[in-house]
Formats: sequence, structure tokens, C-alpha cells
Amino acid sequence: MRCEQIVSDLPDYFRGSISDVEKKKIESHLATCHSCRAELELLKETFTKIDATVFRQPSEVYWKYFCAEVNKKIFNRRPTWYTSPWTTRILLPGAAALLIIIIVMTVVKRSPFESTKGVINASEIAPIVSSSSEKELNDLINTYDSQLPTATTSDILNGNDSTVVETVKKMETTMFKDNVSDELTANIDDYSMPYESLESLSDTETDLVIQRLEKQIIF
Amino acid sequence: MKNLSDVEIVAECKNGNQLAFNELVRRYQERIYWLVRKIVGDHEDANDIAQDVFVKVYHSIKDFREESSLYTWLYRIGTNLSLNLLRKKKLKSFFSIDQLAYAIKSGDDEPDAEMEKVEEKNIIEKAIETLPEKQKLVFILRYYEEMPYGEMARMLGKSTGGLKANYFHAVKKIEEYLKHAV
Repeated sequence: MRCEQIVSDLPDYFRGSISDVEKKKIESHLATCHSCRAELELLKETFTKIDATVFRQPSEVYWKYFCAEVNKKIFNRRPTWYTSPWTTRILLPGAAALLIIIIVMTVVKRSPFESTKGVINASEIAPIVSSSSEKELNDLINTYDSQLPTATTSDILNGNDSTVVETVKKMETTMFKDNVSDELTANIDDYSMPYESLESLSDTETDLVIQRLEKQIIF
Repeated sequence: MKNLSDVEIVAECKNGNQLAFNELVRRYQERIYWLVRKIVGDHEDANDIAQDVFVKVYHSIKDFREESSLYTWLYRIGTNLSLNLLRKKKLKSFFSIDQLAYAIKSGDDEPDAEMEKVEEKNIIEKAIETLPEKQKLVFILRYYEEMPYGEMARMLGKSTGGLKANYFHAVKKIEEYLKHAV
């Protein structure tokens, strides 16, 4: 064996912390190597000094009360309500999320045409329509880009009720699509009606349409 | 409780048995204290760290998977907490030099007390203190705790050959220190 390999094992060899196989190899090398024997002598001196060193011992009282001190530390470091995992991981983040939701909901404006009842009927549409000017009505139709049934002015004025019904249904669907009942939505066909048809109505004709709508529509 | 094995003690602790925990502390308090004491170098720090080891055990015992022995787990916690303290102290020492100089200038008595504290340490403690972190740890675990290299390798995540080299160099450094100190 080479000296470098032997020397690194000498501390364990001296302390008896080595296997019998390794011990025999080292002793075989030491028998023929003067420098490794010298190294071993230096180690002996060092280890003798280390073994002779006395560390200052804590008192017996210290050991007697050590466990009590540990338990005292555990008690003093127990989590309080504001530092407990329940508070810091669930309660506080939950409260923060709720606050954000409340702020967002109050900031976002509700549409003036949104119904709280969930389903719009003609009596709710009519006041809005009747109170709107022609321009406002046109703006309303533009805004909601309605796909209205193809109904002519004469249909509306002459009482082609099925078409008028469909017209209103479609108006409702497109104007208040978030609040239309499922049943109603399912019955709507995909009509299209140029908004000019309504635009071309005079104020008198518009009032007439509304009156007919109020009487005829059942939801 | 005293007749229970380590495995049984751990099982009882996991069930919240306070008496079992107390027995665990009493069983290992001295070994942990001396391990920590040799790493950190003084009684006050060793006392704090040793207590912290068992506080950590109290809170973490439910997560202990028993892949290693209880003894190895305790030693791992002890060495980690000790090394953390040494690193913090090293960082603080960059600032404490100026504070010490100011205190000496102003005639403060505290520096003398600190010097006395240093003098109380024996020469071997001082020699061990001068060792690099890895060599210090390996020397203490091998020499004082007589920990097998295999177990040390698992605990520290190092190779057996590397640990042997660390141990040898640590002994040589102590040898050099003692030669110059005399």
C-alpha cells in the first residue's frame, strides 16, 4: 500500500476504529516504512493531549432541570390566535379575497336594463321604450345588435301577432340576454330584422307598437 | 417509559404522550448537549441549541419517517442548528469588531468580560474552534461520538473517502495548533 493511503487511515488505526483486514495491511506497511511510523508517533501525542482534555461540565442541577426548560420553551413558543396556521393560512387570505370581491362588485356599474327578477316581460320593456326618444331607441338597438325577426312595420301595426311576439322575444333576448329564462331562449329562432324598420316608425306608431306588445305578449 | 425502545418511544410521542417525550429528552439530553457544545464552543450557546433541538423534535416528531435511527435524526438536527448559529456568529463578527473598538475607547468593561470568557476555554476547544466547518463537524462526530463513516456519510450527504480525508486533515490541523500554542 502507498504511504498516502496508509497515513489517512492512521487516526482510525490508532483509535482502534478499523477493521481487522485494514489493520493487518497497515501494520504490514508500518513494519517497513519509517516516515509512516513517525507520522503515527505524532498522532499518538496529539490524541493523548486531546484525550487528557477535560471539558467544563454543567452541574447536576442543570441536567435535572433540562427537560423542564425544554417544556417551558415549547409552552412559551406555542402559537397564538393571530399566528396560528388556521389564521395565517385560511382566515386572513379568505378575508382579503372577500374584501377584493366586495370592492370589485361595488365599482363595476350594473346595467340600467338589468332586471333583478331574472326574466323580463313586456311590461318592463315598455316603460323603457316609451320613455326613450327615437334616438335613444335607435342607440339601444345599435348597442345590443339585435337579430330581430323579420317583421315589417305593417306587420307590427296590423297585428301580425306571432311576428310581433317573436320580435319582442328576440329584443328581450338580445337586450337582456343574461336574464332571459331558458324556456324562452330555447324558442327563439334566428331571425334578422333591420333596425331601420323600427327606426322608420313615427312617435305615434311607436306608441301603437308598445300598446300592442303590452296586450299580446305572454311569457 | 425507561424500558421502552427508541422505536416505541417515538410511537408514543407520535400519539402525543408527554411522558414519552420527556423520557426521550432525558435519554438524549447529554449526548446532544455535548455534540452541540463541541461544535459551538461554549456552554450558553450549547444550552440554547440543545433545547432547540428537542423543541424541534416535539413539533416534528409526527413527520419523522423513521428511515434513519432516532439518534441519527437528533444528531442531524443538532448539527444543522449548531452550524446555523456559527454562520450567524461569523456574520455578526464583521460588525462586532467596530463595536468592540468603540467599547475599548470609551472604557467599557464589557470587552474585558468577553476576553475572560475566551481565556476560559481549554486549548483543545480553541484548536477545534479554528477548524473549517466541515472538518470540525467530521472530527467531532468521528472522534467524540465515534460515529461510523457510513452513518456519517448518510447524515451529511458526503462520500466515505471524503469524510476520512476531512478527519485526517482536522487531526493534522489540531496537531499544528498544539505545536504552536505550547
